[in-house]
Amino acid sequence: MDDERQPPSNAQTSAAASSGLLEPVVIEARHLYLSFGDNSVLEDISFEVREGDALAIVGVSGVGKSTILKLILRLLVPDSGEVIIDGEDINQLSFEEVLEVRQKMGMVFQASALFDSLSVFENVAFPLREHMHLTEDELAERVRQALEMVNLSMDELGARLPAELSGGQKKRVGIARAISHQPKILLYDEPTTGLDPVTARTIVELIRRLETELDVTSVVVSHDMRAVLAVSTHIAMLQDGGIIFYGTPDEIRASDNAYIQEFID
Amino acid sequence: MARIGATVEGYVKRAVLGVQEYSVLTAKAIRYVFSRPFYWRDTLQQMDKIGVGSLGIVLLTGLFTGMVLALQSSVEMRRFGAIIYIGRLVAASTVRELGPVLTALMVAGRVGAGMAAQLGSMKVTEQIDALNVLGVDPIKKLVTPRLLAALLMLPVLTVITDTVAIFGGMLIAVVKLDLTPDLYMRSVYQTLAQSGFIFRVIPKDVLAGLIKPFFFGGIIAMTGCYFGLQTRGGTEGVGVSTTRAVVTASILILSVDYFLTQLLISILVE
Repeated sequence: MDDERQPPSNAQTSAAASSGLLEPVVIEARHLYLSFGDNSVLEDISFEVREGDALAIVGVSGVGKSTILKLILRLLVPDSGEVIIDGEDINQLSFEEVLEVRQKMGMVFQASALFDSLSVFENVAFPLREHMHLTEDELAERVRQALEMVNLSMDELGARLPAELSGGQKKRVGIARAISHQPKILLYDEPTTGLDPVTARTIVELIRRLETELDVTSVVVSHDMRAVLAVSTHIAMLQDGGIIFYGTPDEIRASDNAYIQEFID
Repeated sequence: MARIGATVEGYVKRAVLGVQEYSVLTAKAIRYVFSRPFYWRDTLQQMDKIGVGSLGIVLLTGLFTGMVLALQSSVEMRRFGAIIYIGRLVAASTVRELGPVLTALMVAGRVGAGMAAQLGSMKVTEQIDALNVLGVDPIKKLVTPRLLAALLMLPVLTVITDTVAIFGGMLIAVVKLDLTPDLYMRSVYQTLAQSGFIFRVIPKDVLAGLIKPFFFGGIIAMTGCYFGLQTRGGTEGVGVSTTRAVVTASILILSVDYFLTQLLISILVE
């Protein structure tokens, strides 16, 4: 594994950034360590995601992929290390300040995590009602736009409850809720898991479209390599708590590492 | 022996940690009552669920408690020729003790279990995480409205239980014991007036009976929310949390009732 690519160091990237070649860093993880009791989950994880990039974090189940998303959102706090979001170390902020930083992010949950007592309309409108002072007409327009972005009709589905939706529709509504307040960062936790191949493909196409149309920075956690290769600009592969590969989709395809090739196939 | 010691130590640590987390959750929920944003719509929804939703069981509890009190005590009181005092007995036991405690236990079974189940389901389906991610504090959005609603509605439900229980007692007194409604109600009034009045209007006994449900409301809401938010392990975890919420709330209600009674007697009677 020694010859595998590692995330670029801060010194390397800051030189390039200052010369105007690179977009600014939006998410940066520095030397993250996390364990649950005696079980060490993450060991010295470092990476950075630049504006407009899409980083995919891949690895087998239980390797700590979703844990990294939770650290980015400060739903978990690392044992040591820093998580910098837009220049702020999220672990040094008060709880109220963290809530504000989270408004810059949208998260698509593995099982959608829609509020089951609220209609589709109210789910998508939720972040807008909480953080923006919009009239009911403005609110309805924003919800309509968000639902149209994910190819859903507000007139047809707006009044339905999440229990009345199919798996693919739930996922789309989850994405619509995540983008309704126009965040600059989108996080996806296993976006294609549990979906049939056709629906999974449409979700992948949707993620690609959102990346270009909304100009967001994305982090995608998945073990679905076909989806990962299609949506990401960079890939970080986790094994035994550390990053064993960091590079572009072309570089991972060209890797001669047996473990990586087995994972891709 | 060492293993037993370690098990006991682990149990005590978990218990202390649980009490600490419960206290912190309660302190936060109370603090958020006084800070923006206020979730009035959620609070009103909860008041409707707790208050209007519990009306049926509270009416039945009150009615049958009053009826059985009158019926049961009439056997002994008839023997001593004290049947005309049946109203005193029903009023005293209902307003001071049975009204607040039985209402709280019934609401704990219905509402406390519901809170634990709802919040527990939200926890295991990542809806609580979703609230956090969307920049909303789950304690402020979910716990504070439930606490506020329970604090306000439990006293109201207790007054309804008390009233219906006294009416239930009257039903038995009139139909089975041949007392007149007037005689029964006079006996009730004598009991309520016995400890004196506050502001010349509110009987001290009634006030004491209304302080208790205020605390019981807090216990029901906080216990339901605490166990709901602590839920782990999928649907099975939701079931465990619901059971724990009802059992813990019931035990807390009964034990806090004793200490509150002692306190209220020393303040209002002595």
